[in-house]
Amino acid sequence: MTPDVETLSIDGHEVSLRRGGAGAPLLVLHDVLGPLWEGLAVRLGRSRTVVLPSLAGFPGSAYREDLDTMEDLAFWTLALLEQRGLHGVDVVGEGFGGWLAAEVASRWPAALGKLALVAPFGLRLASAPPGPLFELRPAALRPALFGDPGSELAFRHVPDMPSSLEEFEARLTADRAGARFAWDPYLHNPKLARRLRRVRQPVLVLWGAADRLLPAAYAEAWRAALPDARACIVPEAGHALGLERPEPAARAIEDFLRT
Amino acid sequence: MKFFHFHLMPWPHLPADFAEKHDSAWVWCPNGYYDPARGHGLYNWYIDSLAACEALGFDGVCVNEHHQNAYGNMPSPNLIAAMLVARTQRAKIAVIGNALPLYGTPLRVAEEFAMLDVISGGRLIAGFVVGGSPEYHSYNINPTTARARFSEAHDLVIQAWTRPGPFEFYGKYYHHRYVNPWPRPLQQPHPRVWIPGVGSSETMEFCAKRRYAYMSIPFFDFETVKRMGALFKEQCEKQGYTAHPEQTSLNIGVYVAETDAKAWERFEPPFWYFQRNLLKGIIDINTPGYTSIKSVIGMVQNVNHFVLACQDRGDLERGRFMVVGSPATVRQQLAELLRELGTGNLLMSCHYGNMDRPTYESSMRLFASEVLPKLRAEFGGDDARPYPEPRQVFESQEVAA
Repeated sequence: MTPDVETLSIDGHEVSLRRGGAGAPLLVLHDVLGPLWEGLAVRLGRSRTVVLPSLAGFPGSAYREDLDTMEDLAFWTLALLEQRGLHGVDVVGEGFGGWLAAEVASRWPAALGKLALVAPFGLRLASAPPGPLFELRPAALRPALFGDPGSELAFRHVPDMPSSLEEFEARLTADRAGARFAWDPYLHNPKLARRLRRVRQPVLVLWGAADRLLPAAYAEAWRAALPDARACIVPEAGHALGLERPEPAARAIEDFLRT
Repeated sequence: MKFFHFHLMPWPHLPADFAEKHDSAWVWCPNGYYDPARGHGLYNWYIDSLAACEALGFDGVCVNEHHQNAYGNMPSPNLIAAMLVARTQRAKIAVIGNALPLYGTPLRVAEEFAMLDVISGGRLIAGFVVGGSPEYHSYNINPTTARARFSEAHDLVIQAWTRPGPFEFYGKYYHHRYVNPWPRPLQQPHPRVWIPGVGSSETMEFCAKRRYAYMSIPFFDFETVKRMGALFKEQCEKQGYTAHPEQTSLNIGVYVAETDAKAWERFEPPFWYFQRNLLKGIIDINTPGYTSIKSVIGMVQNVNHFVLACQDRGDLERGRFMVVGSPATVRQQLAELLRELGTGNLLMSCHYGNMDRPTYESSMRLFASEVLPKLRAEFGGDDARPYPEPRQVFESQEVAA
């Protein structure tokens, strides 16, 4: 399935968005690797029209000197929802994008519909602090992101050496965008945990059993902090669950969205 | 020509298998390797070395700032500079520099530099740096803010030195209702500013506009140093003036012994200790967004011109990375490089890695007696043109006038 690529403007800055599939719209907020039209996003297109924006500063969308907090990115997301008429849309948020979904929903719960959060950033457990991400060492990054760090998939997304200048640029761009918002406090917002009680919509929390960036213990922390959530652990998957195990992840999300 | 001695104050006691066991001497290099009892003697020797430079005939000494690594043990170069101020009478003390974005408030830099300038009787050269990429891990400062913080911090420091206080400074990163530092610097309008750069056109333009010195960093081959020097001079021409020779520098390793063979024999082991252990990680610990994407790609494409690519003495000689040899060789090669570059500052790294005191001192004695006087005679009278007055240019965001 080839998505339609659309370009829009938020605050006068270019944003690209991919759209594909059939059915009611489903907003997919991507993780730190950037907007990837593969794995979970593609698989969900069988039942819904997937809307995958490139978040501010990630490849495809302009880098913004004036945006540097997740709150800024939450306002950016509201502008996107308004512009595309997506008020109340169901959301799948992976990692970084899951954190963003929670930042939006904890401020304006009605702006979003149901939330499927796939190994979201956003909380910090002192008993299981997040693993290395911005050290950018491929040999350490692959195990942080992938349950099977030796897989072809892991090497394709986190190669020792990029295979082209374009790939290298895209990698640097995505790294910069992730760090812009998530460097400090590292991968979390200390105020988010107590704000999550405001998120009243149903939430599905999915977690890879072999997530080494944010261990699966986080799934229970999210479930406990949210008024209406259930958690589901997917075996044989790391942090990039949506790339490594798209089929079981998509089925769990489809069941959740249907009921 | 001005002659400076640059010292990193490295840690020389890493174990022989360090490079096999560890991927870097930076950020996560375990500080269990630091032995404070040995550090005591080492610091005092290093400080003695710099303090001795005045009597040896140098115009000044250079110190710089590094954090949480074995590469350079001067987290506070201003402390070392203060000791050197007290132990010298005429030498310039170049702190190149303070890593502005790593300070809670750069007002501290304005204050400490002013103290050094007043106490030394106006001998401070004020260096500003962004800080090394790995140091953004070490200080946990968001690297995507590095350039904007630097620009704003620069504006705050220069304004603190030159605007009558108290005044309000309300930037994006630094907020002060009262900027009013005591003391103010002795040199007016403020001490000379030196900014080390690795070749980005943005930094060159930054320096050229303000009439600051753009100092090349060592570790690149001479062709690259020359190309950077030429690009900086072009930027000055674009600003409507010709660069003063003291607005640039040759920053290079120098080692002297009785013969070329002896010099290389003594120089190589400590140099390779430095290159294989202490430089490890300096370019592969990238922090995201620390420089523009264009600059990262430029850096990667330039990696063959970086000293880490050198495998042996032949590579060092071919790239003209170092000047090592007998007094005659060193004098001739330095004269050649200085002429080719057309600079008025020679910043010599005379100590590398785990070089011991006798090895270091024998080279310094020979340099001072056999090389320096002759280079002075050869390059004397080059500095007749007045050094340009700084221009005040403030470009950071949201800074109140």
